[in-house]
Amino acid sequence: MRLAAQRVMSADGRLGVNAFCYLHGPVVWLDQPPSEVTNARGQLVNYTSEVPPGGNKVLSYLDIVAPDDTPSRQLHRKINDSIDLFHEQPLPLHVQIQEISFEFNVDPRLAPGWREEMVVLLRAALAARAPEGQPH
Amino acid sequence: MRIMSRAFTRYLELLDQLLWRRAVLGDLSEDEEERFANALNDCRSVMTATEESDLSQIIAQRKATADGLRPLDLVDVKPPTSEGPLREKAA
Repeated sequence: MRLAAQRVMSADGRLGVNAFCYLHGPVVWLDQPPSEVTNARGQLVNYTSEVPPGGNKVLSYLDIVAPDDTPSRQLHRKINDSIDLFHEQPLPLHVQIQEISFEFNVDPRLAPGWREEMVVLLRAALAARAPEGQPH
Repeated sequence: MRIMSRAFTRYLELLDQLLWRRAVLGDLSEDEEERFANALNDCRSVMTATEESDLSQIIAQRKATADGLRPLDLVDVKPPTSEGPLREKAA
């Protein structure tokens, strides 16, 4: 599964967060995701969009790769709880926590508040995971 | 790793929120700025000298991280199909 959330700015200056959920099927791994997951985006099953996608400037992004059946609360806990470990880490972040990996980066204009931005993108990524009413 | 007080962690949370709001939403109203300032001062007033020192280091480190960043220079891709990259270099 690949969850991607990104803050974009349209040509006319509108800001918004777009998030996408791609699935890879019943593939499991223990640490590094296999190439069939890293090299393929997966099948798009759901997305949320505040600004119509396409040609917008990307101001921040969070890409999460994890097995399809990883519970959302586990993703949230592991990623959210790790943020404070990155005080001295340069951006972009490339992080691996067991079978979950993620990449995060921001444009300099959002850099002062990047920790909060990561939390916002994480929420958006998880919200895009499934249509409302389908629990994870 | 040292155990930080609730005031210390709350201070950092509030600082993150304040900086994010300024960066994403633009200037805050005077009332909002004042509320943040008061809350930050409340937290800082009960920190230990060690935490004050740690705070200065963390803020300096964050500034260095922000100053070292380069523009992303990326655009998103339409449509969000299953093929190709999610974003690409800006033209």
